[in-house]
Amino acid sequence: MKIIKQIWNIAGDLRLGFILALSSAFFFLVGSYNSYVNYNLFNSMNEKRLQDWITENLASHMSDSWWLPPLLLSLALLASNTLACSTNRILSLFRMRGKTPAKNLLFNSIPSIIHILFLIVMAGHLVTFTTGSIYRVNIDEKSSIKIPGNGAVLTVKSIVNEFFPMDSKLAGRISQTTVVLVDGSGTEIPVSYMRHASYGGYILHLDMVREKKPESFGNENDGSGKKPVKNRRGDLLFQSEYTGIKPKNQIVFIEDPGIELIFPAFTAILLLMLAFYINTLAEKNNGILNPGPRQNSRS
Amino acid sequence: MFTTGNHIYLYAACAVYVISTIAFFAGRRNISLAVLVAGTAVYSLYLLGRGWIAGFFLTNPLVEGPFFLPWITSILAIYLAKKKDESWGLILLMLIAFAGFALYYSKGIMPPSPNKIGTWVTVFFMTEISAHCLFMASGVYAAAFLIRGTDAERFHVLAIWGFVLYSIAQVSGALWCYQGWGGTFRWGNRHMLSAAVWMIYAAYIHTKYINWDRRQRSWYVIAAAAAVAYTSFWSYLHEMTFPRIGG
Repeated sequence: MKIIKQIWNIAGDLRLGFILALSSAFFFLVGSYNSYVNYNLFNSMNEKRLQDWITENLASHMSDSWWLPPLLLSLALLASNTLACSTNRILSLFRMRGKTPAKNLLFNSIPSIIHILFLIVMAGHLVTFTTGSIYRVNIDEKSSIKIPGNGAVLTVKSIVNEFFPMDSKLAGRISQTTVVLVDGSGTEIPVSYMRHASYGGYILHLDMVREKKPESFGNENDGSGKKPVKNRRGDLLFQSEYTGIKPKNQIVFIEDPGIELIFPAFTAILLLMLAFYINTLAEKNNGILNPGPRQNSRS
Repeated sequence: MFTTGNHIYLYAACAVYVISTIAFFAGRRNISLAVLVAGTAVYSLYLLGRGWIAGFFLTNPLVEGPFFLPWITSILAIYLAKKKDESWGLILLMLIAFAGFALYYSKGIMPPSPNKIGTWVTVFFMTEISAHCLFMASGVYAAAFLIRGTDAERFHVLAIWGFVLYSIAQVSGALWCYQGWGGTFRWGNRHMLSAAVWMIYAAYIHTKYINWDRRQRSWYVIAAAAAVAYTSFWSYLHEMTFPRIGG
């Protein structure tokens, strides 16, 4: 029992949490750099389940992706540390009930609740990365789309592009596209950029993809003088005015069970964080500060 | 007036900021504040004008990092001056540096694709850039604390509010990403960098509870602010090469 308590105390050590947060930051930084220099490799992580991507790519691209296992490990340890630390603090607050006004107790428990919500956000992402799925279909007008997994078919009824005002400097550029899909019963499902639809258990997302770089278009260092342009995520932009190639529309069928954990937890974190700091500020201005049980490094 | 020759407001505002800074260091703080308010008003007109560069109103050019950063920094300087902060001149020095960068930067706008237009896009950039400003300001105040021993708690408060705003940016960014790309997080350069910065400051807010003293915390804040400055300005310089219209 004593050993378990000791392990629990070490697991919930705030110093350990600090080191784990910093090591996670370090591996995120390394990952950020590697995904910048090797965009295609790491972009493919967004299209596959994490375990599948690791099986297919980790060993063969170890020099670029070595940071991923330590990142996942350090996030897992950080989650355990956060759980142990928050539990300890909530228990110590619980023991103070009756001795401290309920309002103060509630206020002092906000940081621990935020930590628990942070765990829910992390769990939501883990669920998304390991169980979510993405299925892309190129679309043209009147084409049919087979919904993955259930055999139902959707037909593309129309694809309507809206453009920026003709008298503006963005004339001729697409400002919005609306794709209307029709199912077997004649129900219309409109999907636009930034506006999803739900159908058959999937989120239907409209995406724009750019074709692969044409052979005739110069490489960055081929001396042709044509310098490809990249966006901030590192993907090459081949604008129609340079290449004659226009982006293609795709309908993306997304299964994301983690989203139901992520957004409510995110919202609650924000509201509680604002409430906590605004209240702290107000109490500081009034000269009252009730810190509750002080969180020490061995919480 | 707003769509043509709009950039003249930027030059005018920067000149006024320089006058405000000179007045501050000449000991004329009231004059400096009044001039700063005037400069901020001119800069606000410039930002509004950027919104109309395309010929109709778009928020994207208004909240573009290199141009929004000086504006939010001037607001911070005014706020600190009003709070009777003794060292708000340090924020003026930051303001001059950021305004100088805006003068140097490509002034046209990047044509937005359909998944880069929306409320969450605007909220994301406003909160992220404001957080960057607070992080860098906390670094400057921390350096001042180490050198002069003043403003012992100010750098901590700035870092905390930067963290709150940065957290709002992460949530609004996740909402935007979900709308625009179908997921809240993408394995890519931008998202992992944001996660790293968030983790660095999340670790920082715990330093008080692991008994770090002010000197240790101020060194940490300086290093973190330097990392934020490096990554954000590197990103701005990278985006400078993108095709732009209107200047």
